[in-house]
Amino acid sequence: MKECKKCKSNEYTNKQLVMMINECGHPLCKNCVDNIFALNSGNCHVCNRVLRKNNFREQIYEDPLIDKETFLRRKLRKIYNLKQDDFENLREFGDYQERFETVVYNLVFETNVNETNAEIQAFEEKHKEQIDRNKRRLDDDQKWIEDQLREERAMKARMTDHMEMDAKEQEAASAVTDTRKIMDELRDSNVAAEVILDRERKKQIEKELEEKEEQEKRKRRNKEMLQTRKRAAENMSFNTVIRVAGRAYVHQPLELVINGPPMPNVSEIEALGYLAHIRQPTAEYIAGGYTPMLGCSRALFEARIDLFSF
Amino acid sequence: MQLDIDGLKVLFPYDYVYPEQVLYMKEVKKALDARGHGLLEMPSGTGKTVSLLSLVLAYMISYPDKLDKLVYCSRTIPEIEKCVEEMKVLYDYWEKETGQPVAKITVAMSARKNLCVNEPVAALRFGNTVDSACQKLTASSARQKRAEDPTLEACDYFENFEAKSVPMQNGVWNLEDLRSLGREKKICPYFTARQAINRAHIVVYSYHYILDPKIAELVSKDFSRKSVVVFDEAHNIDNVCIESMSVAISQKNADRALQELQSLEGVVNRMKSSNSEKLQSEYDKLVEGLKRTERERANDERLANPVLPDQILHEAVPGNIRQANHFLLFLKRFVEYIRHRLRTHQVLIESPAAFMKDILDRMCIERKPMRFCAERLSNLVKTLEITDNGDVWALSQVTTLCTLVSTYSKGFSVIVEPQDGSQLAVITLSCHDASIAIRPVMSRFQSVIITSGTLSPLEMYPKVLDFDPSVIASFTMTLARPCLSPLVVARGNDQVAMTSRFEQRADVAVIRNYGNLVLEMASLVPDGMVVFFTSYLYMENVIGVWYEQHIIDELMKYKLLFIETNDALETSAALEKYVEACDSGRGAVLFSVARGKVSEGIDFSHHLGRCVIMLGIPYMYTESRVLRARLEYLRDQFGIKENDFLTFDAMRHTAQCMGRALRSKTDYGLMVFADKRFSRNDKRGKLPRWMQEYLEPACTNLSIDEAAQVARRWLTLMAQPFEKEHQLGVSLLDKEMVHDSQIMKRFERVVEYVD
Repeated sequence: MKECKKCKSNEYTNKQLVMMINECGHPLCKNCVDNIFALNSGNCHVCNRVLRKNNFREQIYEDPLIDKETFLRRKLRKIYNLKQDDFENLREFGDYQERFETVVYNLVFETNVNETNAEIQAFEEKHKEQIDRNKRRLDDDQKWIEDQLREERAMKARMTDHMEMDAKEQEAASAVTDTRKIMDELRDSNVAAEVILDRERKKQIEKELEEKEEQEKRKRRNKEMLQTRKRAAENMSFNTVIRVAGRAYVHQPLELVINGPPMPNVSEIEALGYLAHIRQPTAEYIAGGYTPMLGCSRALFEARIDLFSF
Repeated sequence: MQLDIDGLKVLFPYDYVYPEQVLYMKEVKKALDARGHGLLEMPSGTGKTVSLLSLVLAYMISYPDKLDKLVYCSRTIPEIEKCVEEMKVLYDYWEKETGQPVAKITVAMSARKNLCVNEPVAALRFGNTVDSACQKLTASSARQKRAEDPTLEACDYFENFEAKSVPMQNGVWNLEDLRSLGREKKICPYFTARQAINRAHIVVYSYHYILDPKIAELVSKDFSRKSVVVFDEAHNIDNVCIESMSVAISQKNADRALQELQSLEGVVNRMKSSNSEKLQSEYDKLVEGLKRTERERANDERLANPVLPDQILHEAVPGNIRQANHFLLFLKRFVEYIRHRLRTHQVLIESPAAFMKDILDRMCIERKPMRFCAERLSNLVKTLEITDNGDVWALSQVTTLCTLVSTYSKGFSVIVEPQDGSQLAVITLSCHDASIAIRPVMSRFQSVIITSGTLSPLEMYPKVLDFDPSVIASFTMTLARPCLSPLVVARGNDQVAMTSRFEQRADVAVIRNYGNLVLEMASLVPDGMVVFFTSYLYMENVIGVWYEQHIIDELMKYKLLFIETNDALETSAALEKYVEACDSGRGAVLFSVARGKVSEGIDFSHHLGRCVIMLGIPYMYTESRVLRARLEYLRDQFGIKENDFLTFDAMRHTAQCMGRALRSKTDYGLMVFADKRFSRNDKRGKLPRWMQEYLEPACTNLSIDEAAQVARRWLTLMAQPFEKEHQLGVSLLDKEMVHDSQIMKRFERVVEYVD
């Protein structure tokens, strides 16, 4: 969380909190900077160094050390701008780079500041010529980056050109009708050329208009269809047809409520001699599936039904 | 059986051979003869692996001067083990036929977690924890310390391996064989395998060991040029390539990197006061540019350089990051810069060059130290004797990004996505060009063979991977009975079109129709059934609606229901129970997701998958910025239209899902494509040839009822007894038939060449 060490305002108490930082690397909020440095210069609240107001910049990174370092580095790179080809071999260039890192490191962590500053000055004087010459020169890697960027831009431009051309071609292909026929007509007929051209132009415009209308209609139709489908879907029953599946049929004997004395069953009818009082069926009846028990039980049933209700 | 493949004597370990296998071997031989690359599509379940292995082994034995190594790359551990088992069968057969054992070494190789036999370490089970536990015991710095103080813990297996490294004997070494060898002789199986693969004639391992530059440099550096590299199940190879070159850093990881940096600083300061000569000697080495002259021991798992071998600079580390504290400050600045970039409010896509320019202007960070960043960190970690790479994990991600972004300019882009709700801000360096990662493999080895059951459309792969294969061929399946039945179901019984198009997928009518389709199929298909959805999110929605519509209840009357989830553990439990349900005869339905774990690696052979239903077309998530940037790149560089690529990708995943059901010629499976767009030619034409051939024109626009009718008829047909005699001469050949040119002529049409 960002917080100003001086006025203790933080991101929650002040939504528009902007932290500022100067060369010493001790952040302050913008309000404090405006107050303390109203006279353009003042002392740092931490290290008491004399600072100028217009050297304050917005803090970008979370760690103020990084901001300070970047600031220093940017300043020092104007002096330490030697390139690889200023040295005899890679080894010396490496040593130079390392020395530069050490200088930055010393300044950032504020060790041996005086000596380091002296060193920078000595370096600047010694290499004055080279520094001036290198001011506008890019090293290989920077050139590489620039080349890549240029290539990319060219590529992008080519691609957009290409696509535009494609689009144009398509447009042309759709608008052009049968040019051949028009040319033939222009050659063969006696009508004035303007008339023919006018007619064709009119035709073409009409056609385009038609196409546009057709497209719109299609769009509308699709939309309507979708809507009706949606409406229909909403009105449709959500339940699927419940299928009769799985459970097997189990036979349960029919239960008859006769409200009378119990019926004798089939074997009893035969055994108890009920059949003696029944007409013997003819051969034709038996062939048709009739048994004497059937008639007998029917008669017995009719005799018993609802006997108890009297 | 002995085969004669264009004059080469090949021993095939079975009594019968499929005609496709003979033709496939011929094509592989052509590629090997031409010392070129090959792209071969052959249906799953027709014995790709065994025919490839027998041909290459015969080739190596007959022409040892032309070919001396086979590197077989597969995707999963079961596949690796299956391949090695095939090799064992082949070895036994050679020995039986020729009377003497094969004088070649076959070694399988895998990560430590699969090979470690040191009980306390192996018990950790998870890949990275096992790795770091192993490194703690075996890193050279740890061992040096132990020389002074013998009470420290050691790994006996590794010490024994160091003391008496026994050269591998001829034969086949599967993962389990390596482990038992390790237990028996008390030597470390992992390092034995690592050492053995350089000498072995046949190496079987995972893709990453050769494709990922971070790993390939460590493991597969010393392979000879006269090798053939085979990528099996390679339909996803372009994605593997891209992933190996991409890196993403989230806000959380950036914060973690900062913490790691602080602890590193602490270690450096401590070392400075206690053991400054060590830092000094590191520094001296860097000054001399001797960073690689010292022979690094194979066991020191350095943090590897993410850049491809031919891009690594053979210069000294630049002066600005030579000293340890300068380097740490440099990293701190870089991490702060990344954190700063992550704080934006808008999405930004830029090229690596633009990123470099911005960082130079704002932070004064130059390109050269950035390129050496990964190398320098690995040096520092070694000097500081940090044995656990987990301690600098986030930081190594950052340096990977740093090195990659400064090395490559084309084919990459930097994508910054701001925080959005619960999603953290992420900066991604995404690689769009699959050919970057695979090019070194293609140029280093004389033959690379890419093969899979589903590579259609074949002409896309040479474009995307940017190589020029000498053989491109697609094989169909010869079948004695139509054991696959692809059906395109385009509409429901109420004539509402079925589609997973974005505008209509939420339509209740569409979802209900999908439900009715699944229900109908569940009522008539025996045993197992797999239903693929286009995404997890859509699956959730649909199942929710089905629940309200009572479709789930109805479904449960026929079959048990299992669902794949994001969680790997949950999914494997569901799969286990699914198999159990199918085995016990109850039958089951598995809901899973295209591009998920199930769709890629799990086989549903025989009764486990009698029917596969694909609900909709599994397009990629087109709103993803990474994908959009990649599409743009493909369009600009290779002239591949966005739609073509999206359809290609969707159809290869569809084919992959569908292929799950059919794992051999005796198997049979119903394939239901439930989307009206499948009936269009541009989609259908992108299916593998073997599927297209069995997709009858009458079955490309069915309603649910019609599909059910077709399926019912077909299932009764499939239920008839099926004997070997039916297949002989049609889809299976014995010894005499193979040599009969008359019969072989019949199969000319099986192979189709693509120009």
